[in-house]
Amino acid sequence: MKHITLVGIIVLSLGFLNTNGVAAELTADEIVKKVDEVRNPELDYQTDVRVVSYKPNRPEHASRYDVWIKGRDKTIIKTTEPENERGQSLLMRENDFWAFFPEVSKPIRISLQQRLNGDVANGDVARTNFSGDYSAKILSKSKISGKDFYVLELNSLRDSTTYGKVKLWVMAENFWPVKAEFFAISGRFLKTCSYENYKTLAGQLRPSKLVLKDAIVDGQYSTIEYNEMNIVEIPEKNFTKEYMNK
Amino acid sequence: MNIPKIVLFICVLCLFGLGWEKVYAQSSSLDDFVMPVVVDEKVPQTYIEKMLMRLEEFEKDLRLKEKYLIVEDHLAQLGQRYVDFQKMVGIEIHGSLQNQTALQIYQPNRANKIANQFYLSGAGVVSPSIKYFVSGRFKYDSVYANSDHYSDSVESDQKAELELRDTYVDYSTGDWDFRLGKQQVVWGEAVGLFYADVVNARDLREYILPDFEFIRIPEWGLSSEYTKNDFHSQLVVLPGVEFDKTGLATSNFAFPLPLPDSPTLLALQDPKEPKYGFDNSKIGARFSYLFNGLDLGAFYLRSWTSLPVMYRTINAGVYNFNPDYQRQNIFGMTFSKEINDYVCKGEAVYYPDAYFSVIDPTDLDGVKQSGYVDYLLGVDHTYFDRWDVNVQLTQRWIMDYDKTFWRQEELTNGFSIRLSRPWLNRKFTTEILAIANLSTPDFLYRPKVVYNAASNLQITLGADIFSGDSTGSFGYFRNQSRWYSEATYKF
Repeated sequence: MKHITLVGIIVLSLGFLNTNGVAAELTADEIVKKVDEVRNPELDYQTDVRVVSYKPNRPEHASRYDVWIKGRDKTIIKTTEPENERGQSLLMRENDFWAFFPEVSKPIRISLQQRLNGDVANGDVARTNFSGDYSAKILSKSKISGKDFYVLELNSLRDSTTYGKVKLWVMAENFWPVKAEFFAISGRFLKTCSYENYKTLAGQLRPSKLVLKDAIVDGQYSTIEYNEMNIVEIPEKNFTKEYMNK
Repeated sequence: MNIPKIVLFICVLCLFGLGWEKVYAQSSSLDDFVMPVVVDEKVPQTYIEKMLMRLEEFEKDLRLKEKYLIVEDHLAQLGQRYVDFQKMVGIEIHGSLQNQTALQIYQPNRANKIANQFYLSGAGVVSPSIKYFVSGRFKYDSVYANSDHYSDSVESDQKAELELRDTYVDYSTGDWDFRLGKQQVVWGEAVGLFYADVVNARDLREYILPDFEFIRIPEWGLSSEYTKNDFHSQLVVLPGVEFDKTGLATSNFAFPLPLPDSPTLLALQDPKEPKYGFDNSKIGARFSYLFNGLDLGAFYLRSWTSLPVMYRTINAGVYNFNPDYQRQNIFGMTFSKEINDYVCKGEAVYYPDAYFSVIDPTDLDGVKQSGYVDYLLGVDHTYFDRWDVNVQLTQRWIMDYDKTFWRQEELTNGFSIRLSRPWLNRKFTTEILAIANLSTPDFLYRPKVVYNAASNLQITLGADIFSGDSTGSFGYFRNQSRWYSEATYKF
């Protein structure tokens, strides 16, 4: 029992040091990996996502998606609401994308650009990981509202990523992402993202709401809410275009 | 550079500067920095826990709300119970109610469609490896009841229809998937055209104007699929063979018969359809492989001619037609690949022993055989982030072409273009599809505006405009050009 207590104290101390001293030894890429662990489960999972997009003087547009994710490169997004769009789905398989529309009843190959269209990029909905897609460097460490933060710059490693560059604020004590700024490959500032409402999803505290604000148009923003997240083993074949109508 | 141009130049620079400053002023700002908050709460896991939680909430509400609120809450509870019931019995029910009304553009400006359609589907899970889907529709077109324009046989054929649509059981085990039942098998890549979509028969009583989902006629049979990494194969056996449905004489989209241009006496027999059975099955296989983003597919189908072969004899100047279906082999391949935001796609379908009607009166049966290839190359691109553009070039090459082939050229060229764009946060979508047959030439234009009036109500206004040479497949239906409205409620 004493051993367990001692081990516990050591672990806690390491955890404490982690936030203050040892964490400084973590590389930027290691921090990003820990951020990814907060954002997404490492295993295959299914999540229910609600997206609402707001534009000035325009009616809001709300959608709900059933999202299935396997590994880092395979995602299928099925639209469940609104009823008018129910049955549509999007398959992302590394750099290859297909859309399925019930009225055509067949998968249609689409481009990366089409995948990125819309107020909320499908990459945002899919919660794909930063690590592996971006190389990171620590820009600075800062204190905001009494909390220590890493400010990271992430640069895209391949053309198929949703963004060219990301600036990311991460809480040092628990690696929670708090804010991000997204830039296009051209360097154009696209939007900010605020990671909010942390709650237990798939056994861990994770941000359950993302608020994405357009960088140019005031009052134009979208929210992404993750209602539940379930770790499930998903067969590889579910991420093929032939499976989109199943 | 004169003074006004200098002023204009400076103004542009200022505006550009302001815009630039705005972009970078927003970047790195912490004004909207929201410190994270934990909103964790116990999430009920089991069905009983969920129901108990709802009961607790309901009891609290009873004490707090006025009577009318209680009624409202009851309704909400009822709706929720319906959803819970669907989950409990494992069936998900959806459907749609649709009205389609069409008015002819040219004289006489009569309505040629006032159709109401009710579509219902149910999907369920029996076990993790067994799922089922049932669907059907009822359609009633009152234009046939209120018009003397159509014959009794057309009225009987198109006024009311109750049909079972896709209805099947899916079984999945390891890398294998099986689908048994009435189904659609889709092998093509093209948009708005049937090329490699060769498996299912088509309902062409409204030509190619309805949604493709409803043009394809689901057929009874078994499909088995094997998927391993980037390889996919499919074997289909469809004993419940169906044939293209076409409009009867005097209907809006009745197909022409292969006759000389001069008035001719004729006698037309009903086509002889082969019976259902394994001997008469459609059998086919498709293989596809995704290699470095290149999606390649190849298929073979032993099928039937989708339309009957129009065998004819001429006795004393009277053309006697004895339509009959014949076996047909079909080979095909498809590809698609994205190159720098342009999606390139293609299809080629080879019919080695197709049947063509001939106009030569000395020909004994009015039919000759020849191989032909239909192929298509297309590209998709999005312009200005919003404009989706699809362009497709098509060609048909008849290998043993004979000048007596009825309304055929050795090479027939065509193209299609489709433009679509969403507006006002996807409240509206505008679209135009134009299909051209360049050899004739003749055209089909399909502009439309789709309005999402509510999350489950969609209203479409559009037109289907046929034009060009009347010997072409589009020009022939010039008088059927129409305005239309469509209202669809989905649940």
